[in-house]
Amino acid sequence: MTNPAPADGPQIPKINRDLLEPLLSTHWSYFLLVGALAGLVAAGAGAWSYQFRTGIGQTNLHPPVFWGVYIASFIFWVGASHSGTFISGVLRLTKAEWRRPVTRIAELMTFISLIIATLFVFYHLGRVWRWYYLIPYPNQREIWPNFRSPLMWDAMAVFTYATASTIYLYLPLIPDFALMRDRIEDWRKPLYRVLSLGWQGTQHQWQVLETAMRIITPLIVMVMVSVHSIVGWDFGVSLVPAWHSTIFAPYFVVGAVHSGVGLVVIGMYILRKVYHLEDYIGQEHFDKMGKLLLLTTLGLAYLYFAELLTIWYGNIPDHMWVVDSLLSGPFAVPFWFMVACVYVIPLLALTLPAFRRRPLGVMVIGVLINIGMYIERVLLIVPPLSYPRLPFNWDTYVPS
Amino acid sequence: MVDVTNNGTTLFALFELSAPVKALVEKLQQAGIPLERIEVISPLPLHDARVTSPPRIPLYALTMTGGFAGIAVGLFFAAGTALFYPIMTGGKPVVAPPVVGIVSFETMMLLAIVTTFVAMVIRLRRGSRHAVVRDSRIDDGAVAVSVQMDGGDTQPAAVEALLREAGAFEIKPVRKDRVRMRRDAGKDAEQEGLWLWLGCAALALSSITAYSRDMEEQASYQSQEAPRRHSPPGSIPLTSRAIVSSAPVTPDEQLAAGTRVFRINCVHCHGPEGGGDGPVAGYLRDYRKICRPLMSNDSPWPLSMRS
Amino acid sequence: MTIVAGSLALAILLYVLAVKFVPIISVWEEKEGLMHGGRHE
Repeated sequence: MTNPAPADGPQIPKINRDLLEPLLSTHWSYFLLVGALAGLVAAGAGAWSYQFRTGIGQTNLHPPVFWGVYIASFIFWVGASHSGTFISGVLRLTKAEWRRPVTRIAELMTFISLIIATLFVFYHLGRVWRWYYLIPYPNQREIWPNFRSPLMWDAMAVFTYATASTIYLYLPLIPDFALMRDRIEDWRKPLYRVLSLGWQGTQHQWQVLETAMRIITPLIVMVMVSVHSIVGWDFGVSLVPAWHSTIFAPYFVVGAVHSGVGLVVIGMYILRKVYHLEDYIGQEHFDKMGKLLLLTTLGLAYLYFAELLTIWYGNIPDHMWVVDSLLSGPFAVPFWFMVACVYVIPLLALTLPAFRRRPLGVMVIGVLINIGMYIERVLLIVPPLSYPRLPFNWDTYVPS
Repeated sequence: MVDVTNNGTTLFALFELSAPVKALVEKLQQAGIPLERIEVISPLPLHDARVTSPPRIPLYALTMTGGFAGIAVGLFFAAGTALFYPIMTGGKPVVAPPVVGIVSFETMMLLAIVTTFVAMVIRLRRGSRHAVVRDSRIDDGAVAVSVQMDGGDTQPAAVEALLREAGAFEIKPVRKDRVRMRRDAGKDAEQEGLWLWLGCAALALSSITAYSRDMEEQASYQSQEAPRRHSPPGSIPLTSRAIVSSAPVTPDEQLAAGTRVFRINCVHCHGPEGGGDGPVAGYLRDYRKICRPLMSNDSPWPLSMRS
Repeated sequence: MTIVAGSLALAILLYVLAVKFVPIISVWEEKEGLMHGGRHE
């Protein structure tokens, strides 16, 4: 800015400029995008209000398939939220230097996808206005939520996770809020002033902040694992064929990380392109993310194979109906498409070091993985529900 | 740290990030300035310059306290409420240990994290009461050291010399009135903050609307009241079965209707393909006999139930 | 389906809006990386 520039100076002011730039200048197309998205959101809100008035039957959910696209979306978005905690949490714990430009992108994703995941819980409720039965409070009927229900665990876990990840997003933001409080002079200033909590950058404050982050990081990683395990147990503790499996919890967690990492790659690529952050998010970051994706691909494939193998080898008819419907039955097309998107293509592409160094390529893999994982979540829910143990109401389900 | 009531002067010096801050702080301490009166402000944590005294209660102790409180809360909700208001469901235990474990785990994590966060915020706020000087060059990569002298035995000149020696590229005294002004600005900020929070609270409150009570709001008609409600569509009059026979017309519809009836009544033993492999068949003593007609090739049931 | 699409749009919208309020790369951590002999091209 002024005076004898400090030795490291020329770089640090550049960091300030580059990274605050997206907040200060706005291209016209930004407003176009916001407008288009807002329109879509409004359409969705309209659809929801229609479902409000006419009932959840509008979604084609009917016996025996009670859980459909909403729950699949919920799982998908909770999974997506594992991006932030996994990447920034685990990488912070292991003190990986390359995490620095990636953490914020990932944490923001965690925060936002949790909001969306929560929304899906509410979409899915037949009578949304009864949701407060989930809150354990002393009421006049002396009825407490039944904590034996795994859905109740879910409510607790998602609430804990949402709170924790908001805090986790916020902590490393405090010094940045202070920076923006000093650098940005418009209507956002009071907001930043409040959010920066009077941050000055004294060593006392740094110490407090870093201690807090050191404590919270491992905790939130544990919460992350528990949250998706519980979502997995929602299925695992049921007796529905092909859900009743011990492998569901780890399978869900790994799958969540898989799609989460894929989402972060997409975010990294787009933000890097739009805001010209090539100096910060380099090829090596895509390379590292590609390796992570490879790891989760292999892990997930292993778990998925183990799950299918035990069912196939056991050859229990109830379970085989489900597996048959996936491998060669009515769900075969989406199933094999999913296998290609989630396992085969990422595995083939990401093992090539040259491929991993191409941001666009890794991004496309991220997109494929997320499409695939979404299909996978739907396939996880619909076929087992379509084939109850007594076959009198076998029926399939197509989302409306 | 700057104490406004004190008459002493405060020196504010800027350094490069690579400056030996730790050594400087030690020298200042040797010169008789207590640690509380030295403040080091940096744009990033300087791990080599731990110039603060550790807090009386370490943060992790608070975290653990929060965690234990969380376990207690979890026990209360998952086990306590079930014990106080027992509801029997299908021979399951009223208190299920794994469930209590899971719920307690979540509440433990929740309270541990929230406690840590709240404690951290309180400590940050407490810290910010003292430090007063902000310089935009700090964010651009400088370290600031402010030294507050109590006007007694320490000489500003000597301190200034020490600061210069450590490589300060700018040293300036901070005047008291400036300090006071900053404080007032801080107060303004707090008020603005208050308004912001109030606004958020108002917004949240306004989003709470009256909740529907389903049954009470549904239209209800006594038996003698108009309008007369007719039986729901598809009902069959008690006295006549005429409606039933008029149902399916096309062969497809007929087949579909038959399929439905077959699924409801037959499939459990005869199996979805009529192969006699329904899930209940194994429990029948002579099931082969029962299912034989359907297993033969001329059976009318090559039904594909899988579509 | 509309709800699902709307939610996806909401997620992107929130992210797009957040970009205007929050630096998408942690500024101080990036500076810290620089001090640790970071590897910037």
